[in-house]
Parts: sequence; C-alpha cells; structure tokens
Amino acid sequence: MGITIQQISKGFGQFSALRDINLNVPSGELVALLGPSGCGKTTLLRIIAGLESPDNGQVLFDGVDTTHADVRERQVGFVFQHYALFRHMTVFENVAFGLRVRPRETRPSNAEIKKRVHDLLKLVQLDWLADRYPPQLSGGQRQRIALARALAVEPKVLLLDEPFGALDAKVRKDLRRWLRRLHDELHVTSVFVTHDQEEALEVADTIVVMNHGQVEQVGSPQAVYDQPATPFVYEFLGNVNAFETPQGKGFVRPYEIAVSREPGLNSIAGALTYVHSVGSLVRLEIKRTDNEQYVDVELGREQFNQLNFQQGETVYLKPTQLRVF
Amino acid sequence: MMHSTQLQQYQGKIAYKRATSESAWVRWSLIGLALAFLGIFLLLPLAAVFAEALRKGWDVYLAAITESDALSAMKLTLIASLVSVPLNLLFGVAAAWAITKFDFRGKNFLITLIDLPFAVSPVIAGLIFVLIFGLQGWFGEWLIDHDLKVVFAVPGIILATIFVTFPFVARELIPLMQAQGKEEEEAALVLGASGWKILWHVTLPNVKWGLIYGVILTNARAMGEFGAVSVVSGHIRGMTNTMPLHVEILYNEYNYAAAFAVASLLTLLALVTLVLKTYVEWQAARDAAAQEKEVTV
Amino acid sequence: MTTRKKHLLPGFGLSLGYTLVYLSLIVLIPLAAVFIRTTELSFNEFWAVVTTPRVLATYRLTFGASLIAALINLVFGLLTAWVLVRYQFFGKKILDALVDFPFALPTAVAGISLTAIYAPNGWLGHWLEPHGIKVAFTPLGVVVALTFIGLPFVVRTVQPVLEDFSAEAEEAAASLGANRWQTFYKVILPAIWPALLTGFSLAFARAVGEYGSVIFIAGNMPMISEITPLMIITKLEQYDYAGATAIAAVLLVISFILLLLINVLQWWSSHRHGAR
Repeated sequence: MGITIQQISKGFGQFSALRDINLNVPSGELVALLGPSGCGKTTLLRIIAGLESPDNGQVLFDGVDTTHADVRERQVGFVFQHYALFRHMTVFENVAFGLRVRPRETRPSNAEIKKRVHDLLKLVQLDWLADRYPPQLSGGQRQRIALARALAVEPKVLLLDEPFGALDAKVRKDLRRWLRRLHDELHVTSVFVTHDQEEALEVADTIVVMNHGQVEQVGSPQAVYDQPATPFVYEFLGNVNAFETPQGKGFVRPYEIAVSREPGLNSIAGALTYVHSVGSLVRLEIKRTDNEQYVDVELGREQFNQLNFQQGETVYLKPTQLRVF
Repeated sequence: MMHSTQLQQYQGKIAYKRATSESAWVRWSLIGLALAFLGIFLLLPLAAVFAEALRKGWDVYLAAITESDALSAMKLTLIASLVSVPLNLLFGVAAAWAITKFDFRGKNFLITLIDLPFAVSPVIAGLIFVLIFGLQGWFGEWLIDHDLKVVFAVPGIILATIFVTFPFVARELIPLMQAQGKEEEEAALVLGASGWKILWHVTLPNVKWGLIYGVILTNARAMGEFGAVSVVSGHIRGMTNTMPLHVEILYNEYNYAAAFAVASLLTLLALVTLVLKTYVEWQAARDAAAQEKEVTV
Repeated sequence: MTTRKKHLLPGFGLSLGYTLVYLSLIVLIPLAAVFIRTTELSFNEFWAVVTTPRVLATYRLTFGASLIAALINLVFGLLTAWVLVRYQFFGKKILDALVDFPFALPTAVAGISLTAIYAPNGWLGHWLEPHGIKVAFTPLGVVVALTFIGLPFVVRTVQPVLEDFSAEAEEAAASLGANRWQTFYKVILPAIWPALLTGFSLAFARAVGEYGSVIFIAGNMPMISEITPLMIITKLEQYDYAGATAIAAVLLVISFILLLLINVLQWWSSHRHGAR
C-alpha cells in the first residue's frame, strides 16, 4: 500500500513540529525518515499511524484519505521505540494480542491463532521464547518480538520508531541486516525513523532527510549521499569540510581532497597536525595556515604509504570536488 | 607497582567506611532512642489492647465479641466497607484513567480536589451529611415526607464512610499510571483493541499491586472510621452502631473488658492490613526488580 | 482544525465525566454546604459564635497540641527514618512495617488504649503519677494521642529521600574534611529538609482534625482539655446547627490553607529532588 502525505503541519503549543510536509511512499518500499532529534520525524510517523492528528493536511493510503480514520481502522503495524511490550503477558500472548482483541465474528479460532503466532515467532527466529515474559528477554529479542506482534495483524503498512535506538552497536548491526532481509521477503510498505545516517544508508530504499520540521531531501541512499540538496544534508550525512569561497560556502568530503608537498594553483597551505592510521583509510588532520581551521582528509593506505607524510610537515590541499551553496 | 595500588584501594575502603558511618557508640544510642520511642508509642498501645481485652479471661472476651449487639455492629461495619470499597475503587480507576492518559487544563487542580477529604476533619465529614440530609438539612423535609432516613441510619453511615475513604485508590493509581506512560496502551490501540479491552488487559494488570494496595487502605479506613460515622450514626444500639462506635459505647458504660475485646478485633484487622500491605509492597518491588533485570543472549 | 483536540485513547469523556460527577456529589457539594449554611448567620453572629472564650480555648489546645505533637514527630520521625534506613538490627523489618500501625488502627481503639496506658492506674500512668506528671485527662494526653496518630507521616516522607541519598555526596563531604556531624547538617539535612517539612505539615494537618483518639484521653473539660472537633459535636448535640457549622467553617478554611501549603511543599520538594 502506498502512502501519500499532503501538506501536513503540526504544532505543539508554540512549537511547530512539522511544517507543510509533502511526501510519497511507494508501495512495498522501505523508507527511512532521517534527521536529528527534534526534527519532527517521530511526529510524522505517529501521524501516519494515526497516533497523532495533524493540524492541517492529509494522509492518504492508496489514494484514500485516512487523515481522520481511527488508528484501529488503519491496519498499520507500529513498533515502538521502547517496544511497549505488555509486561505481564508472555511472548506468545503479546504476539497473539492483536488477534485476540478482534470482535468475535472476525476473530480467528484458538488453533489458528496458535499457528499464526508460532509462524511469526519462527519468522523472527524466536519461537523457543514463546513462554517467556518480556522482562526476561534481551533488547534485541524484545525488538524482534515487538515486530512479530506488529506483523500479527497483517498490516498494510509497517511503521518503526527508532527500531534499533535502544540496542548496543553489535546487535544493532545484525538486526538491521535482518530487517532488510525480512522486508525483502514480506514486501510490506515500511517506514522507519532514525537519527543514525549509517543505519538509513544501509537499510533503506529511500531516505527522507528532515530538519526543523521540514523535508530537506528525498532520494536513494546514493543520491542523498553523493548529491546532497542542501548544506544541512551535506553536514548530516557523512563527514564534510566547509570552505569559504567567493561564491558562498563550499562543501568537500574528506576523500575529495588532493594532498601534496608542492604548492599548486589555488591550493591551501596547512600543517599536518595528526595522522590517524587504523584500518584501510588514513585520516589526516590538517591545520590551515591562513585561518587556523582544521580540515579532515582521507587517503587510501597505499597512497599514504607512497607519499609518506610526517606529522608537523607543511602540506598543500586542493579539493577535487567542491559543491557550493 | 601492582601491589601498592591494591594496598591503596584497600586503605581507601577502610577510610570510606570510617568517613560515612558513625561510631558504634553513636549508632547504638540512636537505635536505642528510636526503639524507645517506637516502643512507647507503637508497641505499648498495641500490647495494651490485648492485655486489657483478656484481663477478665477468655470467657468474658468471647462473650463480649459474640453478644448480639457486637455481632450487628460487625455486620454494619462489613456492609459499610462492602459498599464504599467498590464505589471508591471504580472512582479511583476512572479518575486515574482520565488524569494519566489525557492532557487537559486544570488537571493539577482536580488532583488537589480529590485529596480534599484527607484534609477535612472526620467530624466535619459527618457534619456535612447532617447539613444536607438531617432534619434541618436541605433535603430534611423531603426525606421525612417520603419516609426516608439517611442521617441516624445506615445510608448516612455509608455516605460518611465513602467520603473519608474517597481518595485512597485514586491516590495510589495516579502516580503509578503516570510513571508507566501511555506506550503500552498505544500499542494495544494500534493492534485494534477497544477501550475496555485496553483497560482490562493492558492497564489494570500493570497496576495490579497499586490497585490492591489502595483497596487494602480503603478497607482499613472504612472499617475503622469513627469520627465521621459517630456524627451521622445516632448511636442506636444494634441498629446504627459500627464496631468502633460499639467500642465507644461499651467504654462509656465502664464495660472496659468488653470494649477492649471488640477493640482487639479491630486491632487484629489493623495488623492483618499491615501484613497484607507489606506483602503487596514486597510483591511490587519484586516485579519491579524483575523488570529491570535484562538477560542478554 | 476540528480534529486538533481529538484524544487518541478512548474513554476521556466517560472517565472524566464520571470523576467530576462523583467528586461533586460526594465531596464538593457536601463541603459547600458548610459554607452556604454559614451564610445563614450574619457576620457579627458568626464572629460571636467562633470567638466565645470556650471556643477560643479549643483553638489554643487543638493548634498548640498539634504543633507540639508534630514537632515531636519531626525529631523522632527523622530519627526513626534514619535508624531504619542506615542501621541493621534485629526486628528491623517488623518495626518498619509497624510504623504504619497508627494509620491502620481505628482511632477509637487508639484512644482507649492510650487512655488505659496513661490513666493513673495504667502501665505508664502509675509510674508518672507519683512524680506529679498527669497525662490522661489533661492537655498532655491530647499531645500523646496526636503524637501517636501523626507518627507515620515524617517517617514515611523522609525514608525514601534518605534511601535515595547518594553515598557519593557524603563521601565527597568526608573527603573534603567534614566530620560526621558536619556532613549531616551541611549535606544531608538540607537535602531532606523539604521532605521533613512536608511530613511535619501532614502530621500537623492530620492532628488538627483528629477526633477519635483524642476524646477518650483528653477528659474533655471545657476551657482546659476540649478540642475544636469536639466543640462541633457538642454544638450538634445541643441542636445548635448554626454554631456547629460556623466552627466547622473556621476549621475547614484552616485545613484548606494547610493542604495548599503541603501541595506547595511537595511541589518544591519534588522539584529540588528532580533538579539534583
């Protein structure tokens, strides 16, 4: 099911959380809402779910206006940031909840519920935990149970609020690959909120970069990383160096700078203050002679070994690519 | 090198012990003083009730608590509690739901109003119902015309009991439900649960211990209330006497052994209340601890 | 725009409506009756009723004894909370549970039990009497009863704050050279002060309205050992509804002011606690 957001605005008292948001989520895609905390991404997700109502604008599911539809009618699955698992119910009962609360006419039989829940638990690879209680699970397990619970009602849209936010780095990486594979298997239109650019770049088909309640850019991971539409997107996605140019502010990625010992045309002189050489890339920290600002440069290890720069040496920089706004 | 840092740590530990605890002499003086205070003000009154009750032996004791007026007083006390506890329970859940699940203006003021009965003297709690339903009260004449009696009758006693036990359940539930937030309810909503189902399957199981705690306190106060009930009761033996009022009557008739015998039942009730209360606190703490523990696999 | 105020979870109207109706019927309207009935008196009549020498004597006793009892509880409540939180000794858990005994015990039972203990032939009375200390049937008895019923308040408000108090702050004070006593009154006491004050005012407010535990031990002699709530009952028994209502109005206003004060204290205490 495709989602269309039209001119959505939302304020909380004096604070304007969302301003005139327009967005289109094609059916079957996995979309990331990416932005710093307080940018309005969670509010937008909650509006799509029907947990929050917008002050203005419309939410359309497959072209049908659902702005005023009750959460319960929207057929969305929502995975909460802290999972919101029911503490006093077993894992099985948590996943079964959405089926059990259906009105008698549409409620599946107990046997069917049992089968459905076990299938879902198998899908998230946790069917051996069916009789445990949420407090007895690890963070990653809770996350997957929350997902299974959301999927139990066969939602048309899956919404996830900071799905990996509360997990430690290792579990986080595993889970996000797993989520990507799961999505490829199920093809449910999914939207997730994150403040972690790496996560968005790795998992999503499309990234929506948000800032101060507005959409800065929508595009594939490749597009938003390589062709940022605004200075904000440039700075938010990946490391970047800013230069003052006569035309305005220029942005350069650390790997888009050539370094040499010889001064060239329009090159910038600086002192090499620090060399960080762990892994395949070598990171140089260079202090500009003219304005004492620091510039980050990344070189391949081989290239660095050839040039053999020494700490304290004077070097000359030249951007190979510069984007000016 | 290694050895000297270990030594320093060890010495640090001793210094820490010394720096943040008192000398044994001070410690035992403080404990002694506290025990003396609690002994005189808690244990002595507790012991005195049973000593006085059994002063004239078991026969007198048993006779006093099985006498017909005493039995009817017990019955009335039970009725007052059986009516007021469920009503205030219902109110407490409704008030806590409205206050903790929604935002509206004047919420803090509403919480203060719910607390009002705590601040009112029990005597005034009785008086207000006399002012409304008594002979010279607002509805006094109307009640007489319809041959109904509220004051100096059972309904008055129940009303006064409801008033003095009014805030207990709400007061327990509100902070608890506030602390638990709305996320689980929202999750249930997204999964399609109706309001009643959310309340019954999600909210109430989560505040189970707080709810029971509130009910225990409500019941203890309902069964033990004296001042408010005394004003509206009229002290008609065997008719409008609750257990505490029966104690007063016996006492004023210089029938001390019987008065203390009935009082000892109320004291036992208080002790049972404390045991239940401690048990519930213990259970709630255990549940909370289980929730904080995270098993990583 | 119409959907702006829509509430997400169901049941707002029902639960708030029920709350307000029940609150009004059981609490607000009946309490309003006191003030409305008071207006049946002219101001001069009202003033005359609430300031007769006998009534004035009850105020003095009620507020004086409540104040003394609350002060006793302030000191010994802090001591009890300290001992229960900081030290280990045999029977501690039972004592901890028993602190709530005055909450759970019906006040009439407390009243007759205390009277039995402090009467001239009672357990403590027959020790005190030869030394010229009369407790039962004197204002001192009122103080004893009010101390009993106010005992849990200070303990229960101070205890959690003391439990949460970080050991680090104490260690820091010690590392800076403070001795135990200095650490206590410069570091610990300021931190628990709001809780102490809250407990004190709760105990005081409860004592002002108390009736059941007092009337047995007080002796109820006019001008000497009569408390204000008893005065209301006395007026009622003489069918002097207007007089009873007027005195009740005075007591109610004072109770409301105390409640307000306690709310402000609790707000202050939670903010200080939260800001830490």
